[in-house]
Amino acid sequence: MRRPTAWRRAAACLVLLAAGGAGSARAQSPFSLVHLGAPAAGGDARVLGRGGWGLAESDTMAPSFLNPAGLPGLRQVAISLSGYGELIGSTGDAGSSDNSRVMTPDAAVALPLWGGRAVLAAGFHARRSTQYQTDRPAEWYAGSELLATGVETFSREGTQFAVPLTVAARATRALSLSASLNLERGSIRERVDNLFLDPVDSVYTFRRSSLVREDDFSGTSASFGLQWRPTGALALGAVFTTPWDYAVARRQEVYNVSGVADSSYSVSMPAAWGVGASARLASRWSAGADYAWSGLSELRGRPDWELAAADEWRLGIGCERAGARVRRGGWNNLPLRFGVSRGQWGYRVGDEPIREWRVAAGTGFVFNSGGGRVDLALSYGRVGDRERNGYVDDVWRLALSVVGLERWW
Amino acid sequence: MSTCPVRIASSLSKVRGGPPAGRGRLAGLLLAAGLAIGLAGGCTGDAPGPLGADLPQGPGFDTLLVPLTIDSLESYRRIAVVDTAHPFARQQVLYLGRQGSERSSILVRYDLSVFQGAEWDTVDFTLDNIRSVRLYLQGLEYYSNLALASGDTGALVKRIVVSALVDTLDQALYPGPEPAVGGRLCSLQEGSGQEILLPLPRATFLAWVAAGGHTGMMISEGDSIGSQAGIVGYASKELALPASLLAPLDSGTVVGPDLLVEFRDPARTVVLSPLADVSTFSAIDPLPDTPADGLVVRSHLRSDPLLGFSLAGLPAGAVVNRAILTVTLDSTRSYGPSEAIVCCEARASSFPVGTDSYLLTDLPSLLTAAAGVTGVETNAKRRVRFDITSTVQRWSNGVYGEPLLFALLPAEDFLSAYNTNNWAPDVFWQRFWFYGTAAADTTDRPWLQVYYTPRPGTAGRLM
Repeated sequence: MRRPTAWRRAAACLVLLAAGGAGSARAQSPFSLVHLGAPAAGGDARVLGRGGWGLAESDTMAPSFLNPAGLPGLRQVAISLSGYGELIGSTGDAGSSDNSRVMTPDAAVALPLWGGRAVLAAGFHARRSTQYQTDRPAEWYAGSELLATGVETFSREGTQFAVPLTVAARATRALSLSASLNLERGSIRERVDNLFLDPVDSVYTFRRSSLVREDDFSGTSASFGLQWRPTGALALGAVFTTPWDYAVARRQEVYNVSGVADSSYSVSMPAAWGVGASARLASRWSAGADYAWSGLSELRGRPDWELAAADEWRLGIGCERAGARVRRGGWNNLPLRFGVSRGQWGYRVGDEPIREWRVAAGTGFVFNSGGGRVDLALSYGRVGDRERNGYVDDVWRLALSVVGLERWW
Repeated sequence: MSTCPVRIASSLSKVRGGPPAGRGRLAGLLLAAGLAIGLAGGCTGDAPGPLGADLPQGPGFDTLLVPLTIDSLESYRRIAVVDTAHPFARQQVLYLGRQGSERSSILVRYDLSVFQGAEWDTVDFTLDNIRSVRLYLQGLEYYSNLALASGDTGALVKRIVVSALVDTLDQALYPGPEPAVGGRLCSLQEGSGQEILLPLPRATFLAWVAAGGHTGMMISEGDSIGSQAGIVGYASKELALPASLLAPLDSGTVVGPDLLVEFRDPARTVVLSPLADVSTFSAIDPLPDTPADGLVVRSHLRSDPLLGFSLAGLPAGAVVNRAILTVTLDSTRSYGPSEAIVCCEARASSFPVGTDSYLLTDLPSLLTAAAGVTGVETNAKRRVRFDITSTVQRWSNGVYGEPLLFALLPAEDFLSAYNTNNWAPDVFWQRFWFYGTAAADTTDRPWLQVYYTPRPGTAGRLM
């Protein structure tokens, strides 16, 4: 009997992951109704399980694409897919709402060259997403007289993502560098519907009305990364993404009456950078921390966004016990990860920045052939504050990532 | 084996050995399956609700339909409509009675020279040989079932008086003051909406025959004693309406205010149709010259208001979603049967200032129905709303290159979509009085309610 290859195992897991997401109702929190939308949790489940650090990591058996400068040394073609499901309990003055969604924010493939001294990589990375719907009862008047009652519904959805095309190479024995060209794309679709349910005056003929505004974003940025390992136990990493401009094509349509308008504008996105460090503490234990920052308060081009923009940052700290293959080792062979993170979103709600903290834990499984792995992370986080923002989210997140390794020659 | 000395292989221990292959595969598959089941079965979202409703920006709730209330008129005129097919002297219905300060009587004149013919030489024109002389009126059935002050419905009781005219009837003088009359020929109390037979003195008839003719008669409402207020209609000799409008008639009845002369020998009744008949409308309320006191749609003596609004408050490029013109009927100053009221659009250039009278036959080329409301009753206050969305859309889009005006009309024949009656507005004496721009209750005033959506790239841009 032919043994399943790592690719097949990875593909099977991907199908299961996709199947899990297909039937679920998907929504985020009210925070995603405005501005750029909620930042996507970057990195694979391994990174997420230890608090989000990974800029200083280089693991050729489970490559992380958080910092492509860590990819040199890769000996096999690697494919990585990461996704997560969230249960979001939101609370505000108007009540509470429980929602869930599945997102697959990261997919990447890496190809080693010259024995792994250089690596080409490409992929998909979701930066932000927005997905929420709210409604409220409505009344329509002629002057002061009530003519009809109904519901007004507002829905917002969309994703901003990057397609990085990366080359990474080892400069010295201790230093690796990377450069990426990022195709920045995305869209935000906002829709308002008036649903007239109960016309008070039959003479007055109401019509269902809808307004749809869709902004398509398009831009190009560049990212650079480095990783330096001054000692065998310590590694440092950094990434920098240049500022870029989004060219935004806007189409606005009013339904029921003829009304279509196309326009365009430009949004200047600020630079982003991140630094990280990791240290091996014992044979199987390591610890690390990352700090990422984006000066989104310098965003320009959308006056309504500029008013509410804030600098975005995230600090993640955690530790990891590597997996082992000790005969009869049992659960002791499992990798273990723990971490905490603290961060701030790139915009304000209620005139206050949205703060987030999260605790996470994770583990994983290695395919028998050593040709890939599955990692899991479970985390709980709290986003926002009732007093400061008017809303608060309690978020449970289960992340899953699959890495497959295969020789391609 | 990697040649990179800095590679970290932390995910795999360098310790030899490991779990049996089957256990690892099984564990991975179980975990993945459990995850899939959890995501598929446990992920359900609440239905959308008000949580977050205060947050949307951009095309938020209040941006989709922005209200604009236009409650002042930029222009106002009254236009008189003349029906050349039924000029006043040939109206199909004659009106009689008093209501408020309004009054109308019926004038008739007969050609008595018919009795000078040779065939009448053998007939005795004596009191003995003439059994009766009666004036015969057929009432419109609508007036037999009116809403009465008592709260019931029924006919109005009318004291009807017939008098001889001093001077010969001249139809061209009417509408106008009542003519001078001589002696009273008859006084009778009857209900409206019915056939009425008014007995006339035989001697007076004989005197008219002997003189070869007469000046005419006036049929009017007597003093207020014995009469209930109301102007009611009777068939004229011109009547060509469906018989259902009239109370049931005997077979062979000649419609109109007839004179019935019954002879004993030979025993026969002569029916004379009038040579001329006309209503006086000797006193009718003046219609408002400004919109402050009201907007009046009047039939029979047609008069219609022509309204102009300003769209200056509408941002350039705005997409008009709906536009509603609302007027409120003042039932205390309205009367007549129910009618469809139609709001018509008109180009301002089609109704030049200074021209306030138009032929009915010209209106189809000048007016286009925008919206209509059928069955507008006159006996109850109500809002009358016209959905003129498409008209205002075309106006705001600059289709015509000039402002539009709005005329309120009863359902004329050319407005066939709303003309649910079998008669044209020349038949009934109706008045639809809508509150004006100075109405005490501001909600009663006429206004144009527009809902629009701003369009980006214009003064009303969304962002």
